[in-house]
Amino acid sequence: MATKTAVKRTAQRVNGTGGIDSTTMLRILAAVQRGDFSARMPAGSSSSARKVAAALNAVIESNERLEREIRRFSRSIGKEGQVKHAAIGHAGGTWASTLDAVNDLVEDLSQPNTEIARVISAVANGDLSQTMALEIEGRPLQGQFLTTAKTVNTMVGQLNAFAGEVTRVAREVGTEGKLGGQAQVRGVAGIWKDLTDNVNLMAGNLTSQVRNIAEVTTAVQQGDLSKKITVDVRGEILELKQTINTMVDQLNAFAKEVTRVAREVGTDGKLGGQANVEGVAGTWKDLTDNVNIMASNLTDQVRGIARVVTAVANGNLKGKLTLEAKGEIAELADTINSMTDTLAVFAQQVTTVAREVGAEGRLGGQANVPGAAGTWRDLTDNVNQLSATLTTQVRAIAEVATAVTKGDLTQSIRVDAKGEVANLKDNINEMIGNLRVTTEKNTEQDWLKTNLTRFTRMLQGQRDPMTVSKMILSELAPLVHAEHGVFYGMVDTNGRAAHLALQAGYAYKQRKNVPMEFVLGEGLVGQCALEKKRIVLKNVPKDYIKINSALGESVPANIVVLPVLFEGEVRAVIELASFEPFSATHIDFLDQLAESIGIVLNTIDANSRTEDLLTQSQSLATELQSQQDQLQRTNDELAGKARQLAEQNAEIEQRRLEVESSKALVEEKAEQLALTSRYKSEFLANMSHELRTPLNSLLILAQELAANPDGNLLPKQIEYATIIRSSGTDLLKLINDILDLSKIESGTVALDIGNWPLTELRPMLERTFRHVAEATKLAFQIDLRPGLPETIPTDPQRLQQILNNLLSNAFKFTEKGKVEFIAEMAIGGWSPTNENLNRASKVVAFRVVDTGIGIPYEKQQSIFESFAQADGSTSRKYGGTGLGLSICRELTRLLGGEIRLQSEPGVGSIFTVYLPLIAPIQPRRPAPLDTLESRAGDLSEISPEPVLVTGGGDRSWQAERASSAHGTKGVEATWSLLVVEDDPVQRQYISDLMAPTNTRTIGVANGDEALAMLREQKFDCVVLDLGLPGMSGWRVIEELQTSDALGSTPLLVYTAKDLTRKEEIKLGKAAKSIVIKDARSPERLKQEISAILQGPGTEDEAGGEPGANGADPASSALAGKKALVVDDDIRNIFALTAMLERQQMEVVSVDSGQEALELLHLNEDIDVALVDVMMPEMDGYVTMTKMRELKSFGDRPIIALTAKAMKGDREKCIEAGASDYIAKPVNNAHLLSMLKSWLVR
Amino acid sequence: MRRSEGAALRIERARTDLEEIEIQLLLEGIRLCYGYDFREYALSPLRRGLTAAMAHEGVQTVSAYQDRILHDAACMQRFLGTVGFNVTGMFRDPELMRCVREEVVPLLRTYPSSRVWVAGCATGEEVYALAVLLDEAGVLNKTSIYATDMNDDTLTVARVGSYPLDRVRRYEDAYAASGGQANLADHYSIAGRTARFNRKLHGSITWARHSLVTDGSFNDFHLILCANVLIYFRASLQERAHRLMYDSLIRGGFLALGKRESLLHCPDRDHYEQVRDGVNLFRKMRW
Repeated sequence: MATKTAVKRTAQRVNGTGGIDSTTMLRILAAVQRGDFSARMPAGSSSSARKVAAALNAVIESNERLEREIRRFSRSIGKEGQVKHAAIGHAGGTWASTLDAVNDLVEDLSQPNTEIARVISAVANGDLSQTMALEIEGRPLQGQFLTTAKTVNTMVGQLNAFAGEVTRVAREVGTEGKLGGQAQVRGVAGIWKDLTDNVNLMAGNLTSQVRNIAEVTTAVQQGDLSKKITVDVRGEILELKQTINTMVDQLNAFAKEVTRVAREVGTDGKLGGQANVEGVAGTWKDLTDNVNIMASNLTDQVRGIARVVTAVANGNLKGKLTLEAKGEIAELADTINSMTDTLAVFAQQVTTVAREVGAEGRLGGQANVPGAAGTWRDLTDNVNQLSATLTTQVRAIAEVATAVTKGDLTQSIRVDAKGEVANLKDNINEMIGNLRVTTEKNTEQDWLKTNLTRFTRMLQGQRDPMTVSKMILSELAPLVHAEHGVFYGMVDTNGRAAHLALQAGYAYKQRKNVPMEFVLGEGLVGQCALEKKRIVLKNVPKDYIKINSALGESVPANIVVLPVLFEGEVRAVIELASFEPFSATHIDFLDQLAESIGIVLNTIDANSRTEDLLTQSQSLATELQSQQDQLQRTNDELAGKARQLAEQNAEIEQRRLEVESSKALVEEKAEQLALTSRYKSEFLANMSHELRTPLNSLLILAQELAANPDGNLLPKQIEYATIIRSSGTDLLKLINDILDLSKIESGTVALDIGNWPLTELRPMLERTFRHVAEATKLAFQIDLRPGLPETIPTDPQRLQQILNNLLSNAFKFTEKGKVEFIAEMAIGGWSPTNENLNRASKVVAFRVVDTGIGIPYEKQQSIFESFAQADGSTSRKYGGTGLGLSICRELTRLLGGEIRLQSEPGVGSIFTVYLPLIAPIQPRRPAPLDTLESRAGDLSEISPEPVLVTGGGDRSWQAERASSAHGTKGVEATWSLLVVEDDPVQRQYISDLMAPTNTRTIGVANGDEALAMLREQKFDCVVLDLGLPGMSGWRVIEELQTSDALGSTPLLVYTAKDLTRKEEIKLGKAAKSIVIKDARSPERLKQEISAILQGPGTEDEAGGEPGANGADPASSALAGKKALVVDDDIRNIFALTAMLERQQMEVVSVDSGQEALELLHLNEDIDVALVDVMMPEMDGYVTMTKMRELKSFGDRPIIALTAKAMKGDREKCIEAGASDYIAKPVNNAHLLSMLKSWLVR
Repeated sequence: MRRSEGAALRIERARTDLEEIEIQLLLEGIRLCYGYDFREYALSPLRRGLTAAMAHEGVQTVSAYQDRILHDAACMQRFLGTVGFNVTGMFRDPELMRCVREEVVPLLRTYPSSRVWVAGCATGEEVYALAVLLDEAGVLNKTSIYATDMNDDTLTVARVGSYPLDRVRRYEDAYAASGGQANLADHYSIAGRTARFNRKLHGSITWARHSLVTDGSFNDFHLILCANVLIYFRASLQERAHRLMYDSLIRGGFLALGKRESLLHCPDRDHYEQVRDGVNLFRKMRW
């Protein structure tokens, strides 16, 4: 404000002075007034002006500088906090004082601030002793500054008090252990209060934790291990808690283990127990180990003692205690050892005594145990007593035994004994007794045998029965102490009945009342012979017999009568008498001797008889010799006759050969004839057909003419036309007959077999012939006899044709009387050679009986021939072609029957048609070559109506038309057969054989012709002989097989050659069938050919249809693999080969195990073998086993083919070496997948 | 009186019913355990055989017998032996053999080689009879005889070909009646009390185990002789056996059956033709 005023004044002054641009000055002053210090006064024109301008500018500049300084200063203090003095340079006056005032203000303001900063920074550094001074440089603080200072000081004081309290509590709790201390800070609030509370909480927590730990530890110290630290802690304290608790657990475990061991070892006596404390270490481990050591030491010691005691108990007294023990246990060990010693001594003594007395037999030994007392003493005494008793008894037994050994069997043991020894004594005594008896028996037997032998030897070689009997008696009587004896021999001489005659005696005196002979049953001797039993008499009466000596005589007390037997026949009787009774031994001896004597007597007998026979035979031999000579002569004569016979035979053979060759010639001629006949028939068939066609046109036109539709013909012309027609009709009939006959003869007639009801017979015949009969005034009877079947299997058309023909003939040739038709069953009447009828189970006969002119016997055969009538002249009278009966005969033959004729001229004729009640063989296929019938069809189209031949004899044309109109049946069907056979007879034979089956047979004589013929035309079957001249049958087969066109023709081999198995198999591949020439071959040949001709449709399913389930060959995984098929079943070989070859496999086949092995030896490239189990000679099991042994085959797969499904059969295959097995009949798909699994890897 | 009879009958029937169940179980067990299938065998001959076999073993019930038979293979062998399908002899049907001699052999001659199957040959007597016949006809050397039976034991007997002499001697009459051309004794040698058939006959025979009940066809034959086997079979089983044999015959082959047997259960009987009245020889006429 002052400045402005100054500036205003300056400006006024300037204006006051002249020369001063006042406008400018005013503008500048206004700017300064506005506070704009940037304007300057320009230097004026005058000097004053210039001075005024300079001063003004200087004022403006000073203002500007002041303003700038104050701005800087305020920024420096206020914004940057730098308290510095403001300085404006050379200022003076008001300017300077203004500046000073500003500087003072700044000074005053910054002083208290500095003080506060000092105190706060001391507090921050932890020094709570500083306070703010309440006066600065002697000036007390006032106002706001004072309040601030006091607040700061209060804060510092409270901080101080709080720190003191916390420090105290911390020291008390932490350092001095005085738990429970609490900080007491009064007058604090807010955060300080919270802080204090936290400190107190911490102190409390710590206190409770430490106290809990202390409690547990104290409990542990006092042995209570059940306590645990339960207080809730965290962090490091938690670890501490866990450590302490773990420690307590381990202590617990340790204590338990030690307690257990102590109880087991100490109390329960279970030695060997060991403490087992898991997871302890340090001292605890040591402690545990110590306990264990103690326990094991104790265990060892106790066990040692136990072992010794046990040994002693078991009788082993050598055991000593060798314990490393001390103290009481050592004493115990010593005691036990000394006890053992005593026992050992005792035992040894007792053993010695026992051994001496018992084992070594030194009786009398006594035990001596020094120092034994008490029980031991008693025991020893007992042993000694036992020894003494035993000694006495054994010595007694020994004495007796010694006596027995020396043969004295009278001794017995008498010593006192009890129990077992008593038994022994008794047994020995008994034994001695038995021994005595046996010895006596043996002695007797010895005596017996010795004497028997002596007798036998003595009697050997004796020839005379008298000598023998004498010898026997003189030896025998003394031996058995008999004083008297007689010998009666059995005699049957000279017609007398067998009787006994005295032959020898011993000390015998003949007496009157004693006979020289006895018959059987007479007296004792006879009775003995009758009964064949020994008789012994004791206490013989006194007057019975006396034994004499020179000095006197006495009566014997005993008599024995002995029969001498051989094979149950009595040969002799011996009687002996003795004073003493005969001992049992003697009786035995006598019995046995009697047998020997029997044999001897028989031998003597036989010898004498042999001698007799020898003499006889010698005389016979002489006789025989003479007879032989006679025989020889007869033989020679016979041989001569045989030679004659042989010569005659040769002659006959020669004749036979001649006959045969002429027969062959005849047959050849016959064949030629047959051929000619067939050519004729064929020609006629063709010819008549060719004739019929124009004739038909002729007939139609003639009929047209006769009808005279235009009415322009003269009656004469009409008559001509009628004659042309009727003649033409006759001609047609003739041609039809010829055609019929030729067709039948050439074998091209087809039969249409059906079951024809015989009930149709009567109406049919009535219809056809009743009016004829009426017209000719003949009686006509139809007689269907009982027993006829309801239907017959035949071709009805043909049958009707036959019957019509016969009946119309009958009417034709009968002028008066009757015509009769009879149908009945027949049991005979046909020619005996007709096999067809012979074989048929039933035969029906159709008879046509007339009372006509009859046929002379000599013509009866020829009327059946073509163009024949009984009388050449009759043809004119009766008309007819003479073919009817031929046709009838052929048709009947075709139907399997025959026609018979009985006739007598002037009386009448009987034609009988016999037909078998079985269907004739029915051909099926249409003939490829026969074109006649198709033309016949044409004919019927041209002339649908008019050509029907009406009336009478022949309806074949109608029948033929009917069947051809049916179309499907076709008319004649035939097969073609090629016979390749060099023997013309055979060839013809086959041709004949097949003729009834409508087969056209062409025969060729060699292979070249056959091949040529086969190339020329197609055959349904080829019959081939193997033995052909030139090219053999085998070659023909090979040729056929190489040609696709020819190979398909079915082939039948017909040969007289015996084929080997190999040949058979080889042929079997090419031929449908093989027939060996033999008696029954024709039958089989016919069947086989028929089977082939009738085609594969009827062929059996035996071979199976192998193709059906095979996989497609193109993608076969088996291609190129080589298989071996071993099977004796050819069916199977073929089927398998075909099937595997379709898989493009190579197949080799053999039909026996042996061949398979040979083949495998040579071929190593077989990939798989299929082996049949059931084969002759070497069966499949053996074959497979042997295949496995072959190195060349090794472990390649073998598949067994078995028809068996039984358990074990299959296992057997595998055991034998099969890799797999498959059941027969083989399922192709199954086999293929099996092969793939083995071959495709 | 009548009531008690009725009760007895009921009890008897119940016993029979029970036994039938037992027999069924036994046969099923035998099939599972040993593979022999008797289930379709005719019941009454089977029951007779079973009764005999049980008496032999000394067991009272079929169940007890089953226990033994399943645990003891030897017992099973004895069962096969005593159940009695092994009764056979030589030329048992002389008429049949004569017919074979007169009708079959001439046709066998027309084949390069032929095969004959004796199905169910038991102890083999009829096989040797057939071999004797073929030998006398001169065709044995080109004929293979296959003789099969399901029982290994009887096959073993058959293979040896030795029979008690007195028994073989008794066949001489039947042999003559069958058209024998010499003596049967020409075909065997005597050792002690047994007759052993000649080596030549042995050489032509292949022996094998085969069951008509379970197994299949293993070759085709010109003649099959199956005598007194089918009588033990029920209808369904006869049908199976017939089909098997029909399939194993060549066209025109012959089937010979026992006297009491027929083609009644043969599905293909229309294709057979009886060769001679009163003789069970048939020819397969399917051509």
